Amino acid sequence: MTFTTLTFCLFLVAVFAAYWTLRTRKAQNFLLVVVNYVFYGWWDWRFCLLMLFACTLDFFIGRALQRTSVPFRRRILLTISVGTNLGVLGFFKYFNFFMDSLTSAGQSLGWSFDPFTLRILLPVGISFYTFQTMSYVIDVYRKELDASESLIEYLAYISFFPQLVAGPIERAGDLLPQFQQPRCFDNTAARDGCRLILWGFFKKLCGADGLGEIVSAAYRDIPDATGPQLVLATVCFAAQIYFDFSAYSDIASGAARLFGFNLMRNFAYPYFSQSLSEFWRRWHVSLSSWFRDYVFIPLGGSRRGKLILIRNLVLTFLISGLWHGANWTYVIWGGIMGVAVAIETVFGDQKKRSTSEVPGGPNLIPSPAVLARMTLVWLVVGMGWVFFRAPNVASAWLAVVKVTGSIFTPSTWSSAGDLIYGSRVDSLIFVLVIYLAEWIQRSKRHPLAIEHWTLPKRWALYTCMIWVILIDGSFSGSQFIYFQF
Amino acid sequence: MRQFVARLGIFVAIQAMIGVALLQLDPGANDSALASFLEKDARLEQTADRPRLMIVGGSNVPFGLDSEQLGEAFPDYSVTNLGISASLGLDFMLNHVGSRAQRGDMVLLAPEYLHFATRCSCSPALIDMMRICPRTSEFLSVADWKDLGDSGLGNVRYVCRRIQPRLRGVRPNEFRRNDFNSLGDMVAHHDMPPTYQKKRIREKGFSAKWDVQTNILDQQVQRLNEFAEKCRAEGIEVVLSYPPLSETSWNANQQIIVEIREKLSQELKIPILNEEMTPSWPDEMYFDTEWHLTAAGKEQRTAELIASMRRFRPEPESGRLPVIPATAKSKKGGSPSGERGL
Repeated sequence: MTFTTLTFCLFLVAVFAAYWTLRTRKAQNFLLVVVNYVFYGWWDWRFCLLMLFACTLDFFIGRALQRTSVPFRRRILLTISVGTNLGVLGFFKYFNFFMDSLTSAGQSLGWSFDPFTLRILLPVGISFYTFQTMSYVIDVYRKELDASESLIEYLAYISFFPQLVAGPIERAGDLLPQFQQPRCFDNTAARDGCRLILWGFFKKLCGADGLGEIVSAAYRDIPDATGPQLVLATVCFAAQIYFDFSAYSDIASGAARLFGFNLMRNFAYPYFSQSLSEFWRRWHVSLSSWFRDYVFIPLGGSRRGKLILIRNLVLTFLISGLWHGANWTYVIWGGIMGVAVAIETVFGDQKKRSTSEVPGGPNLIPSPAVLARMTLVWLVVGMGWVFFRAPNVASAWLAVVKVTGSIFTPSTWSSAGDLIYGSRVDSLIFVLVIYLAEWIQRSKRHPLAIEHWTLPKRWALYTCMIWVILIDGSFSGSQFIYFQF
Repeated sequence: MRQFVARLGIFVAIQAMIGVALLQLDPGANDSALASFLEKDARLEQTADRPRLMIVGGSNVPFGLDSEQLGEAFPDYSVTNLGISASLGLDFMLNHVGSRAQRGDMVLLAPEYLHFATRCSCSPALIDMMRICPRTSEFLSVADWKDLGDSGLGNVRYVCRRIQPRLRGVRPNEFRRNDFNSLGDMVAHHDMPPTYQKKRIREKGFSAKWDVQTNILDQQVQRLNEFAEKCRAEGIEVVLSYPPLSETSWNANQQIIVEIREKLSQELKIPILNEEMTPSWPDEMYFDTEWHLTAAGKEQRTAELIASMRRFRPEPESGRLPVIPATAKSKKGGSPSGERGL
């Protein structure tokens, strides 16, 4: 059940109505567990069994960790949890990838054997809820969190439908207490939630999906595409993946607010960053912070000298790349980001810009220095997106060669125009509109934070947006990109 | 909460009023090609007293077969060309013909390869069909209803695109209900100049390559086998004939088409009449898409189909085909058997 469908809209209305007619927190939590599994089972009911198994196992491991203080036993329990979760994730996501890689490596060494591959269906959202439940157990192990006493509360927290299949990856310390406390309907939060949902729909249907056509046109057949076409497609992909993923997070946050929950902010205008480090504090914040707290810091973080810091950064980004998918392109993408961040951290500008600062500076028209920094960040990130989007490593390298070569062949630049026609022109216009709106409103949590406008003016804007979405939006039924991770 | 619900309700009501206003401007689909369903379905009812040859498929069927010639070749059958559009989806087509077919009938399936590569049904077509004829909702499968929920919001765009020509005072560029003849064949295009080769495959952004969905092939083969089994149990014969595809489309999608044909050859429990036929024909035989034949192409395809049907069921020595007495025919399984053949 994708968010941008009529089915989800009806589902949300029905759940909202049922939820707020219930008077007690326990009844609401129970309802949420039921609707969460209905939502998840809409894809495939078998996915529910797997998630229920993972959640139940970690719930009882958490309880056991809470009861025992024997270090050896605690380590065993933690190992069982992490091992099971990573094992399940590894099997469903990486089994065929590793078999294929092993076969290729063997063949390059002159060995030949029949690879054993399975037709494995990747459960939607497994990367997200697995990390979420693992972080819970780790936090209980570290005694940073008390284990939940209620299985229903725990199930509701892990499987909470707005953030189940594509995040944000919520920490137990932030979200679980919200299930343990009574919720009251908050008019302001609910209205803001509706605005977030509307903004998410606009970004997804008017921005991301239309851009996808331009991106696919070039990346579907990289050998045939020209360098300028790949440049345009990569620019569009950078926008597409941001709009797509941030739209999901916005709709998730907006939907959660309707039920009295606050999810963490997952995207904080990352393309207005002035450094790579700032970019990674603004992009997919929930995943970045997860890897920081559970991989980077346990490896030693930045406390053991520059060489170890570089190692830890590169390793963390490599693992993060692998998390995104079973393909070497993602690993290379992670490696590129890791090396770039490491270089910047060690040798670059040491000024750490907080995510609470206005990205891109306070001025409406950025200074040349700010613009230059933003452009440089964008170029490095953009080069990484080539690997992220390409179907395989060979195609990615070919695309990189074509993209860099196109700078020196201005006669081919006009070929990029071949990708732009019909409704794709509208998509590019929407890209500009969305970026402009985000730039102007970048001091606010989201561009539709316009409470200070009069009611008629706000409603006129919402009405225009809704009908632009309905008339010009792309309803091809495409899934959110991060569903595949 | 009351204030929130009240305000939201007023806002939604305003959007609903805008939607209703748009619907008033919508010319609807009662004049469109989809509405030919009413005539085709009525013909099935009118010819229920004798064996019927029902041709099922997307638009490749009305654009590609001459039912009059088929009727002359097999005079004991009344032929009805049920094809309208692939966008109705295979489930809709099979459910419709399955609800109408009776003992002694023959169902000739000629689905586009696309039905085995992706879900062809699209919600605007299904919604329009239900507006034209509400009882067709019973022909929608669970998957169709799910698709309606998934892409239902896109129908507004579809309606707005239909309104645009009306507001501009121009005739929309599409085929209409009365472009079909009484047997259900598309005939309006016979005298029109073909545009496929000259214009379509040269237009900017044209891609002959299909977007393929995984897992659909197995499902569709299973669906067809279940349909055929049910029909055979009721004394209804089912055969399949591949539609010829344009060369351009064949070259772009050869891999998936070969995979489809191999799968059907191995697992389909329905006789395939033209497995040996050349799967692709020259582009100049196509009218406006890779499925729609010109008048000349239609004639050739019909002749080849007649020949393959005769090979499938050789005529008895008398040269005459056995006729089932009209009085002996009844709905669903009541009629006596007797040798059926072409």
